[in-house]
Amino acid sequence: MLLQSGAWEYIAANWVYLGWGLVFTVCLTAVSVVLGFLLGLPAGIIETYGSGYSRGLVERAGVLVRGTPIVIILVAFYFLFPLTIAAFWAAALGLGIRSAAYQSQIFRGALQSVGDGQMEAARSVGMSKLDAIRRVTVPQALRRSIPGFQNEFTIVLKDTSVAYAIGLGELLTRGTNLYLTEQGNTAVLEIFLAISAVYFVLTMTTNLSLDALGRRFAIPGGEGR
Amino acid sequence: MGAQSGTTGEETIQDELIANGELEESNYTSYDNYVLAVEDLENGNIDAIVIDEPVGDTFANQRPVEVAFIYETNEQYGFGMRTDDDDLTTAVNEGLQTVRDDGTYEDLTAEWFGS
Repeated sequence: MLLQSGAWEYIAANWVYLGWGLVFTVCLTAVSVVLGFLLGLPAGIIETYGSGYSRGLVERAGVLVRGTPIVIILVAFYFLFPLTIAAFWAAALGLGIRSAAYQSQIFRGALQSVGDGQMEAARSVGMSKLDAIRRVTVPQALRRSIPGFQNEFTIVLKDTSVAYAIGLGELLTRGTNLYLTEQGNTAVLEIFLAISAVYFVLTMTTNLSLDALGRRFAIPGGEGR
Repeated sequence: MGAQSGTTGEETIQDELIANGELEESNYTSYDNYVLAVEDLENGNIDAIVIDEPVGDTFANQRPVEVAFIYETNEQYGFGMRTDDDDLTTAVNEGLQTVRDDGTYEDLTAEWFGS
């Protein structure tokens, strides 16, 4: 199959339609990553410092979510549970909870890498355990979790395309809809190339931004560079 | 052979060819959508697809593929509604009856499906 100019003209003529797909993709990524962070950071803290019930519960929930394919999670939230929520929220909830399960491990790893002496020192100057976590170990761990978080962010970004399975009009769905037409059906390759380029630019931007964040919060002349 | 999954084209291959032993199950590929099926046909990965007639005509006009033959299925279309949604069912049925009685139905059929 050859690249043809007519196909690119067809894509250009439908840029507004694809543009709305981009909006959905960006919003879905943002909501999912934030939800994953809000649930994943506490989960990682509980897995590292928690005990008994809370820790067991978080660990088991994590194993369950990580052990379920993302398509099944999304289909379950949208079609199987008796919730009448918009496809966007079903996708955000599914991707967010899945991301939380992965992010919890990123933060657990980063927290475990902070030396035990940090916690001991904080406690010995009179901080409560919660204070020590909040003011001493978590700030250090967050810095070290940037590379792992960068990975997770780009994975969520591209996995928003799985929302195709529940018909949410994000980039891949809209690209597919474009080639499932009489005018567009010979532009399959070009459409895939175009939306892949958009995902690539989004991923690059995300990586560059998080690199900058890493430099901004690096210890001057110290570790974590 | 190929067809879009969940379509009557796929059903035809399953019932008329695979069930009769005329086609090996492993020689059938089902696709997410019909455009990907015709892409695979054009690329030479499969030899034929079963697809609705107007769609097949469109592909034959746009690509180096051709309609080999037409298989009549007497397919019918319907509206899907919940069984307890009587109000909607009544409304749709009455609406259909009205357009059939006043000729709108035939006008629309002629406009969209006439030759």
